[in-house]
Amino acid sequence: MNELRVEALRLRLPDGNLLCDNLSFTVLPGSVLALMGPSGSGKSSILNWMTGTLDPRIKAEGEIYLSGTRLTDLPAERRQMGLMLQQDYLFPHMTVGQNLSFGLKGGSRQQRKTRIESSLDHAGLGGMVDRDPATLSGGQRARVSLLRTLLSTPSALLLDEPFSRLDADLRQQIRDFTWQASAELPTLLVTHDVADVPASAATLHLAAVEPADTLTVTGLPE
Amino acid sequence: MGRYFGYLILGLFSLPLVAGLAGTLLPALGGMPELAPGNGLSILLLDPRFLPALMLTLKTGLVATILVLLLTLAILVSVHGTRLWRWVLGMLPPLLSVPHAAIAVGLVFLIAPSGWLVRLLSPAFTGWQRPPLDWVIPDAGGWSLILGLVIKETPFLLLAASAQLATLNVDAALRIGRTLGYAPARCWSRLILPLLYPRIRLTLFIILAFNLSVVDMALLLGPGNPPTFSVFLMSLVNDPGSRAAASAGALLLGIGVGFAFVLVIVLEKLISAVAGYRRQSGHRGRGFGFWRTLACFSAVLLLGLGFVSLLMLALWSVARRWRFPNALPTEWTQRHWLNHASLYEASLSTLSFALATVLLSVLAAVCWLECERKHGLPNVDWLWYVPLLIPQITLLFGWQAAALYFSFDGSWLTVVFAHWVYAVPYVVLILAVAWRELDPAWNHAAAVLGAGYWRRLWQVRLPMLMVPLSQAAAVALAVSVAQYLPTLLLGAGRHQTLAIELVTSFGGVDRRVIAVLAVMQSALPLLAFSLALFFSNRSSFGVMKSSRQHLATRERAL
Amino acid sequence: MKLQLHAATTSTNVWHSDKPDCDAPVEKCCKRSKAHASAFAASLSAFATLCLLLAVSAVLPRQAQANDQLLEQDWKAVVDEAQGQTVYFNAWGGSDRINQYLQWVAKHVESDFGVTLEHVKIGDIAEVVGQLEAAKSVGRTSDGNVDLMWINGENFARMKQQKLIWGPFAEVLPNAALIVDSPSVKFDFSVAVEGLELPWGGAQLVFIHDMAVTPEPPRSAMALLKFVQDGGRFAYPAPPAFHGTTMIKQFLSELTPDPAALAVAVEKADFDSVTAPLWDYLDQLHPALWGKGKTWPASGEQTRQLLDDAEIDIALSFNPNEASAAVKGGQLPESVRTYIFDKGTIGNTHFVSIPFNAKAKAGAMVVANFLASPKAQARKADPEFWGDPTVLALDRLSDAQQADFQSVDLGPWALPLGTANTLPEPHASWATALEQAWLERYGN
Repeated sequence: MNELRVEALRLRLPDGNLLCDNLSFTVLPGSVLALMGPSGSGKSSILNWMTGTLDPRIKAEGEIYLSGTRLTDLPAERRQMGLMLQQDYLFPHMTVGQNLSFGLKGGSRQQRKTRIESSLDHAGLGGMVDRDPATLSGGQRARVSLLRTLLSTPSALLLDEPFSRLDADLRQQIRDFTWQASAELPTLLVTHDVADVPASAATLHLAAVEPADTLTVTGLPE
Repeated sequence: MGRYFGYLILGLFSLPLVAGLAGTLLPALGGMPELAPGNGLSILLLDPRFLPALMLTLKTGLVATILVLLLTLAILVSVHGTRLWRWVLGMLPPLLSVPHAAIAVGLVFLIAPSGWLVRLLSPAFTGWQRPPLDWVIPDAGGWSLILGLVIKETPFLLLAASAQLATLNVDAALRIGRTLGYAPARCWSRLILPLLYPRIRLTLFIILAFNLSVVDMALLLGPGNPPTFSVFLMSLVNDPGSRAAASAGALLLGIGVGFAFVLVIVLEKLISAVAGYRRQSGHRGRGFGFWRTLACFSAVLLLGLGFVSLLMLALWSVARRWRFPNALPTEWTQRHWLNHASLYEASLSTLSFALATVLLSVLAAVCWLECERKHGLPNVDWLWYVPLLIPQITLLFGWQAAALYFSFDGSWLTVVFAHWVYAVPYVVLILAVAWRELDPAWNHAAAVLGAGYWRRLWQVRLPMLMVPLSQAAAVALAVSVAQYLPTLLLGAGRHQTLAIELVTSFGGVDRRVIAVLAVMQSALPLLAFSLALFFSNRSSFGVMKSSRQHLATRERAL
Repeated sequence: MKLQLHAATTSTNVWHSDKPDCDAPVEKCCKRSKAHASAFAASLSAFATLCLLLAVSAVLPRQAQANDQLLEQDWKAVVDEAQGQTVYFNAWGGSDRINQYLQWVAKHVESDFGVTLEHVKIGDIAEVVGQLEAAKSVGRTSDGNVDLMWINGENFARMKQQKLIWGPFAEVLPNAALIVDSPSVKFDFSVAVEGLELPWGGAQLVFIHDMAVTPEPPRSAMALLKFVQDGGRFAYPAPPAFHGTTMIKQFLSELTPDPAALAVAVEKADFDSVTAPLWDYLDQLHPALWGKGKTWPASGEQTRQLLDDAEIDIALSFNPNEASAAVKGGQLPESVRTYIFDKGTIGNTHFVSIPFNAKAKAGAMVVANFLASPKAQARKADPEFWGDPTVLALDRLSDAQQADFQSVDLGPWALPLGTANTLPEPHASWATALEQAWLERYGN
């Protein structure tokens, strides 16, 4: 089973307050778990912990498994978790093609080139391989960013408010694009906009940080 | 593992500081009798040159520093926000990058009684058929040295201040102050300067320490009889009979600079108390047209003198015959460029030190900042300032003693090490701003795409920091090219860089040859800065465009 | 151990004094204390390295080796040993023309003997003597930094007295046989040479004036005084700059009532009464000088520049042919001429010598021998390249070699041949005594 499982996660801020305590959940491939809550409730920290990019000042306990492999002590680059953030983080010193190439794993030079061009065509971005990311529109950037993540063949997808910076009419288009692309993967979505959450998703509500020990959330799988 | 690299860099950086101070302290206290026999302090105090040299240094160092501060503030108050301001800002980096020695040589060609200024006016306006006898350069009072220091140090403080102004909301303060009826000068003195001053205090201290201990510029522009204190100490250090005295003097100089810092702080408290009291008076002040014109004029004059000095160097380097009172050479030649045997060698030697310094200091700085970021090593920015605040002479006399003691004086690596110690603070401080500002999310975004540490460093972080990196490299090159004292004292005379050739040949060798050396010495850092500028303009991505921030800790050639 | 203890106290003091005011928020202060901890770690690692260095230096034996057998061997063996050596020649580097001449020498010893010559340019050879004294006192008797040095006068006297010279090497060199037999070659400022240095060139104090400005320059010390008091422009470098000291000696030789006292060590003379007329004279001269007795030219070469700038009327040189070279190089107008005082001026010989701890002694011998060769001396005598009078006896040279010397064109600007009238240098000990007395009177 290519499931994503988090067990008994506890995050403690440097001042001693708990961001979350005893958080556990499992996400199955092809399903979406939406993590909702007000700002400051620790959603992004949970995601950062999962990708291995948590600020070292926050103390974390708990375990994370993907496809049965324990990831807890692996560095970010070996976890195979795709991450999409509010900002697209397209590297400004690389072209669109180079950005995609940065994410792409393996293959000969020619294979990589073909792969990148075909994925751009597929996303309706044909011929943009040599473009400077700064010259793209917001929707185009979002699609390139998602493509870059998918080309790195992640085993799970974590999305942190990926649609919130987009215009309303663009938003639905990118949502569809994303759900289509992530159909095979366990997906975790952090958002505060209910409209972002697909109908089939399970939802987990986090409360704002309170003094320790009042916060106990148990996540449920689908 | 990585963190030990960080400690290694700190150790390498601190070692010469520790060894240098020990090597100055020990002989001064009679602790190295074989290298420096005798009681240093008493030999020093009995030397008839001691007191006059000390008084002269206090005069030139303090007057120059006060003038630098006053001029900087006057220029800020009067020129900031005008069209002239952009011009001034543009002039600063090239003036800063040119070594002190080169500017000093050009200044002599300019303001001597037979210099270019008098030639331009004579005999038509002055009636002088021969150079006047009313003044000589260098003068006995040290005023030409003061002028040279002011020309070279004011841009440094001005640049530091302008970088800080970018972080203060000057326009808003002026608008609020003026709507309340305060004259612009009052807005500055009551709203902006109290915030600005604490932020440029450290730069002012660096300038003060430099002005009190400078050697190369004092040799070129200072009086010889008595010389300034550090030049006097230089005449003692290589004589074993007076090494103890030289060390004691260097120690005294270090302590004196410390006292000067305390003095500045006391003055500062006094002034701020008075200003704080007056601030409540409610006086709005009046226009200051005359002062404003004067300050604009002195800004133009100051930067102009610097640039015309460089022009002097260029003219003399291609002159064959140029007698008084001709305004331009009457015969020209490229012989001094083409047939100058030591120019090629000295340039090569200078370049070898400069490139090694650039490479090693950038490497060390990147290494340290990565350790600081990755392993959470503490911020030790204050440590990098230490060699800039201790007079070079205080550190280097001891460093030389240690080098002599362990027989590693004269080697190429020893000299590179010394250049590195003086370049690395600027490189670290310039890069630190950019390093800490770069959003860690870029790093994370690359990591989750599967890029390991080295790939992230080479393909993401370093390319994104290309602009500050190229600026830091240019600064490191400028610092290395200007180093006179470390190369002289630790190089055992074996490394004839442009700085050494220029200072030792001044007063002896043909003026045209000196001009060639000075032009070459200025050209290297100017070229490096042009390249850095080219890089900055080419990198169109807007991540690290706020280069003003980095200029705050910009180069100074000690 | 003492060294490290001192180092520890110093560094701590400095770092603490550097601590800024603690008006920052608490968090920042915490950070700072962490910073201090790490700096402490840094200084600890610095000490560790220092200790290591100390230990290593204590273990290494300071070996002394004598290669005096070089002096016994035949010349070919010396040349063989010199092959591949690098010779550090510490010589005054203040003249571009001399520097270029030495590069020519370097090229030739490289191609002829495989010796690499590095000219270490220095401002004052006395500093090098000081370094050698230091090296001797710490027992560095081999592998020294200096292989060959340009020297004469009081510096030679000091080196000879402190036994800082290796040799006697000079008489072993083949070209020593070509050198002229004159008192100034046998006695350097009244100190016997005894083969401890090799004569390299001759020199004499001369004056350069511009006929277009000063057709009738003063030709004695007293005439010079009148000249400046009547508005003439003159300046000499402040002692201990070489030309300054020589100018003082010149005045003293002319003015003293007891010239014989100058030939013996200064301790044996009544310094005050011998020099009293000199100070009287200078007291009158100085206020009328360029710089009013407060500012002085840095060197003899600078007086030449000031002459070209028309700031002064008379320049000093210690080379009778300098004006020729300067006119050809565009540094002086064609209307300059060289002259000396009617009763003569101070002249001497300059030498090269090998320090006791030189690393490349064979190489230094080969270079020294080349410097005294007819080929090198003829080029040196040519104002085109340097214009320094030779020390060779021309009658001992072959016809072809003599022709090289005779073809040198001095031009009308140099001191006319046959007008040289040389006064002897005072004993070497006078220089320092005069310099000190001068500095005490006029130094501040």
